[in-house]
Amino acid sequence: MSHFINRQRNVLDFAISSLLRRRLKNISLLLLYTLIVALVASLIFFVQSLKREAALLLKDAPDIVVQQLMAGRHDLIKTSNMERIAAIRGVTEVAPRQWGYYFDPVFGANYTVMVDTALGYDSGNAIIGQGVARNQRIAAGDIFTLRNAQNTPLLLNVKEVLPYESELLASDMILMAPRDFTLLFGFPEDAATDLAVTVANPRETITIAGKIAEMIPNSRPILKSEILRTYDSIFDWRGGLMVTILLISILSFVIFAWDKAAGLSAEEKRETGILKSIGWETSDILLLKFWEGSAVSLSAFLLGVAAAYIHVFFFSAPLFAPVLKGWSVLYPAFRLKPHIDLYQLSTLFFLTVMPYTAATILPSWLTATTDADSAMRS
Amino acid sequence: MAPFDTTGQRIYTRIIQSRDDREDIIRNSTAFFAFTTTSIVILLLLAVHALSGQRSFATADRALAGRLKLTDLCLFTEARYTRHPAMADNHAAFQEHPAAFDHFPSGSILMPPKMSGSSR
Amino acid sequence: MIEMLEVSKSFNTGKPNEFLALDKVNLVIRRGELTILKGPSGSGKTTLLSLVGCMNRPSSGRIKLHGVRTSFMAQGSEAESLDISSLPERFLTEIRRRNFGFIFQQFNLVRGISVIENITLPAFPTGENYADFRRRAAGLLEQFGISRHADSKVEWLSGGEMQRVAIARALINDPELIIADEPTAHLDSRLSREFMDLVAGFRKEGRTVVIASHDPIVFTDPLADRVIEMRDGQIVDQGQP
Repeated sequence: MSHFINRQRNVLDFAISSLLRRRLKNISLLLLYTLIVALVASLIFFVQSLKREAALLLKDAPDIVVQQLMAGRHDLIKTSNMERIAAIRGVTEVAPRQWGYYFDPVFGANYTVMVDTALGYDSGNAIIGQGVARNQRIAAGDIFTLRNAQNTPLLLNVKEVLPYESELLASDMILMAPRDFTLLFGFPEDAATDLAVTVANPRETITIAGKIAEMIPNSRPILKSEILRTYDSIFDWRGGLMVTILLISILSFVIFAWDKAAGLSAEEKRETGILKSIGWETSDILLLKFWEGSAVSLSAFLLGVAAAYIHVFFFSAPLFAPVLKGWSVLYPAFRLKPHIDLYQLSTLFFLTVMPYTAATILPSWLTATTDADSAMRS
Repeated sequence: MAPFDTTGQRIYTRIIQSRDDREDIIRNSTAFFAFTTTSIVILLLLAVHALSGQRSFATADRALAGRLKLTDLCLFTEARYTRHPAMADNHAAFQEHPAAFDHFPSGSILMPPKMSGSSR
Repeated sequence: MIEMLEVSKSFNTGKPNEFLALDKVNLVIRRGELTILKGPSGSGKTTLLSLVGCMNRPSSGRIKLHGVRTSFMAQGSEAESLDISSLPERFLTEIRRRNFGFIFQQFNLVRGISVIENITLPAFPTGENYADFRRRAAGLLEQFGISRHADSKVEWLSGGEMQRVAIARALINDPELIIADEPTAHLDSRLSREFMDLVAGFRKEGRTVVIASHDPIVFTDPLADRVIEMRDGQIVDQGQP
């Protein structure tokens, strides 16, 4: 056993000396490698954390949301439909949701305006999200103006600003009383944006959705499972955020590994010959290459993952901000709840450490099997 | 200096006792193990950080989501179909025209929603 | 110690440029002797050395080793003869590592790493305790007067110093047989003589030495037990005393 350990350590000693010879090349290689691992790991952390957050927050989403369609597009739904839906067996609650978008030409931002039936304040008052507060530079106690449907200003008192934790849900929201909402948009009083339906038994949801679709022509029931699936597909590895950045990383990594694999220099070949001639076996040389590859890739993996964690959870992933912000003027400044997915990390480990180590070992296999006397002939 | 003494004994056996100050040099492998162990410890500390952070999960958020019956996360505010992807029209990613190029950066990472209802 | 019977070696077998480097050579190398192979370049000296040193296998004929240290043979069979003509590479390497030390014409040092690392290279894969061979290397450095260069890179050394590093490396695993291929090719006369003094030391220690050289300083050395002359892959003078 001590023989085995000694051999590993001795060969590792030499592997590191060997790497340090081409210090600049290998350190820049390590840094690039770490960067790629950090990028991919950041993405994994970011996406997994958002996915978890989405699943947790949307747990309380309505079981069914009923939309009215008009000429294939979303239209307002008559509140008179509520009673008919409530009459369906298994439906426990039907509630109207009144919401819409307000584009503020002064600040250039889009807000989500919503009626809060449990607002707790009279008309003329509002609760705003953190993003709105930042965008308008207002705080609780201030007054702000929205331009209403009659092109006259609607004055609103900021009663509360939603807490920082709710950024991910309600950063762009303005919550107001029904009367203000009607005034602001000229919203018909007998209509809602959509209807939220609560179902007693989740297994009946699909049946009930089918009944609603039949009952109200041109309606579109959206199930909670579909909402969750939408978010899953945004954060899915095959689509969305993952694929955009992952593809670039994988591509650069392949180029990089290929370069490494193809680039066994004459100097390295000569050294292999020397080692063979002084009594190193083929397996010793492969062990050397294994340690050379592992030293770089393992270090890159460990450093990269740690950097990714700090990037995502301590600094809120500034590298992804350009993608997330996009054209938005108002963007949520959420801090993600840390979450480590061991399965994803071990996948990352096998996708980064293994191929690189293999790419280091494989080309030297060919030279390592040369005859020991080759060094004598050169 | 004569490399061998008269009796033909290898003299380095004597030198072994007299001089060896190179044991205090840190071996490469030791340095590597130290580095790896430190990195792993850092990762474990981060893991502890991750676990301890989960308990403080904001229940207030869930209450808000429940009260307002929210269906979407506020990630991208530039357009209807990015702000509320779950509520968007059937062909949300192609709002203006099915073959139109999407012009928001977030459009490239938002897949069109898969809705079973849309087949009806 | 080594017995060669009708040994032939050809290269590029089956190709148009096939050539016979060794032609039915019979040779016995006795323990504790200094054997010198002389002859012009291309006479098969290096090929013969590589076969003696278990770096390669003969195309035909047999090579037997007597009394070598191996880990794969039972302890009791040490004195028995061992036919290496058909042993797999792994075992040849094992024999080579334990019993032979090599000194090459080009020194074959690994550039970019320190002198002491170069010297200890052959010991790395043996699984020996680091401190043990490191100590032995320090002793060898002292012995060859290059201790102050221990941590220098080999490419900073002079030719004579490199030669001594190469010799120290050959000695690190305490070999019984030392094989040197044109060791003085890159040395001036003074250094060549110094080298032969070192060889005299090896012999005095009881080591077997085989040198291939066409340098008169080497093959006219009075210490040589046998000078074997080669030409065109054959031994023309067995140099029997």
